[in-house]
Amino acid sequence: MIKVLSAGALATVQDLGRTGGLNLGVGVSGAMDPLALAGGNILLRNEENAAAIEVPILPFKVRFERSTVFAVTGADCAGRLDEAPVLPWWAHRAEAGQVLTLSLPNQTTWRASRAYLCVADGIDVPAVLGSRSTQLRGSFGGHEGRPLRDGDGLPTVSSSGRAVPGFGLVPPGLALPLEADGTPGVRVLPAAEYDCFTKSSHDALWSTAWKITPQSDRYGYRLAGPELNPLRPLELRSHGIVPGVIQVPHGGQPIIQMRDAQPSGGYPKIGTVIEADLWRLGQAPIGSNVRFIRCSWDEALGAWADIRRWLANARRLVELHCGEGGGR
Amino acid sequence: MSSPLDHVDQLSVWLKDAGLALLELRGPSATLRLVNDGASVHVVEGKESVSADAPSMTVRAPSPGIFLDRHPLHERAIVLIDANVRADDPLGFLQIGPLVLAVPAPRAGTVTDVLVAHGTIVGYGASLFVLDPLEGETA
Amino acid sequence: MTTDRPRTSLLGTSAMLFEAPGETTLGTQRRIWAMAHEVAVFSGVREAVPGMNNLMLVFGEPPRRPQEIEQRLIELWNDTDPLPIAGRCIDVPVAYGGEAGPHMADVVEHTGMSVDEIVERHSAPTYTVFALGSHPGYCYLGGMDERIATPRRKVPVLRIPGGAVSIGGSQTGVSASDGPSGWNTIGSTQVTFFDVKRSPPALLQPGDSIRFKVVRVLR
Repeated sequence: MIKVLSAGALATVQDLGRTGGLNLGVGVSGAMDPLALAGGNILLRNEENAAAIEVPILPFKVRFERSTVFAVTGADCAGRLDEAPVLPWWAHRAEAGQVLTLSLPNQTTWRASRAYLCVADGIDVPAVLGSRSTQLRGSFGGHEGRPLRDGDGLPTVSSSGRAVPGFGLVPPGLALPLEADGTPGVRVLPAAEYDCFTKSSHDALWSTAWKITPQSDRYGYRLAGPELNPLRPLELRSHGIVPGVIQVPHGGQPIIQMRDAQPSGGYPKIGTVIEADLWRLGQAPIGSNVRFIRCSWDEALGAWADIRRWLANARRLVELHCGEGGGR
Repeated sequence: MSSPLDHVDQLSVWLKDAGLALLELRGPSATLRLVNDGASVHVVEGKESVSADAPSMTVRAPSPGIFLDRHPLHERAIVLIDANVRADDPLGFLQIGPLVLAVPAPRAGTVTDVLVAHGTIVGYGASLFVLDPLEGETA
Repeated sequence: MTTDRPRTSLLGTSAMLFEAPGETTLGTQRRIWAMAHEVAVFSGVREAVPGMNNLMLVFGEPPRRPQEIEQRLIELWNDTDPLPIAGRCIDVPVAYGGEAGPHMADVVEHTGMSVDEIVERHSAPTYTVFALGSHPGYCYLGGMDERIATPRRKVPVLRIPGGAVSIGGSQTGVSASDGPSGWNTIGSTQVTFFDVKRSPPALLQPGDSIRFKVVRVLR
């Protein structure tokens, strides 16, 4: 078990998300940075979809109640295990009773905001409708369907013993950088109502460094920048949407749907951030800027292939390393 | 039966040709280490000592890779010259694609030299650090 | 927004949207339900999710050629017979106006009708559940009287309570849990639409219908 000593705010248990619930109105949830979660699980030789704790607001403190191999991926949060420094993106062993403290993210080399505490064999909360992710809107999944609180105990399974401490992975934020004119970028495919917006809105969409406002969370990122205006007012019929969809409500300030977004909506959609770049957005700090980079379908497929390749390569090398009895 | 010791000359040539820094052959009773320092290849007898009171020792690359003196997310080297380290503390890293391996201190000591620049590609056995016994201990 | 011909569009690399032409009708929705059954078994499609006279396909992996799927969807639309679903009908008791309906005034202002007229027109029809969406257990209903249609709010409200009965454009619905919404809340009910411990967890499914029963009206 892991005991939460200091929960910060809005820390939740997440896996890669809940599929198959859209017809019940159940959104996907899942890690805001799925690559950090997958990376942590690869490091620990877990199933790719094992659940971890997503920590968006620091500091955060837990006590390991039994010896566990763990890794902190995502943002570099200057972790300490008791007094010893904890390397980010690194498999470590904690002994029973040791306390892990995560502090404010160090954003000098990679501007990231969310940390993932991954443990060998995953956080063993019960799967609900096929996933361990917290469904905040529906108050189910994860740990009691809610963000973590001080004093919560999170179950871990008796370790399979596969995890080997003593090595790490290069964070994909360093290996797969993406910028436009020095501002972090994400690639976007135009969506159904793109052509219904004015020319100046199109120009603004692609050239603005959009500010991620404080009204941004796991549901959606509300952006600030020039007003985006449709040629004439649009009222759409409600339809399915996915994380990444950039909606433009009447006020003209875009909202990007994130992992806890509702699975349907009716605001005009000017574009969609491609699935392969959602992890970048998931790490973008509030107050930072983001650029939209127009891409083609084939470029989007290429970006997806890059992600699959990074994951496959990481898993292959980790297995090779651990299989050879390496690590210490 | 042929012993590796009969073939040191040939092995030395291969080592130089391949540009490898170290060849280590381990048997049940002995270990042969051929070290290529760039100018010549010489034999180091037996196992390099890791006892705390041994004199100055060289810490070698446990694997080929890109030598990193800091974690990829960090700005400062993990150990500085003259830093005291404990056994198993990471002195630096080796990057192999997305994988990062530690170069652990084989024993407690003081790092007196870093022999390779951050970002250099090194072979297995390349000399990376010089580790002296902690001050006050027998040299 | 309605179109003359069926329309498809991409939702990034993870999904595709099909929109049926014409006004929103139950007949069209029955064709959407039929399409959803067919599309769910397309290779590479993880989920087929009906909306209001539209259908979203969610991909397991992004397809190599989305144009081919778009073409198949249009063909399917032209070939598919409506799937009639005879679901059950439940009564939903509603308290209209007052604290339970904080945006009633906006609907009054937009429509120019009195609270009583709005309540009467809202509670008169039997609404068919066209689709589930928005949040767990939420039902999109067809059949609202166009005369009480009111645009969605300029700025979404960050938290409206579960049980809120609201109007957004020419649609109406009941929130199944607390959460943000861009719709205008005109009343409230105690009915539980989603319970994860129930099987199935959602109270209603497409094809079912509901009637709003007026409990009281605060003007």
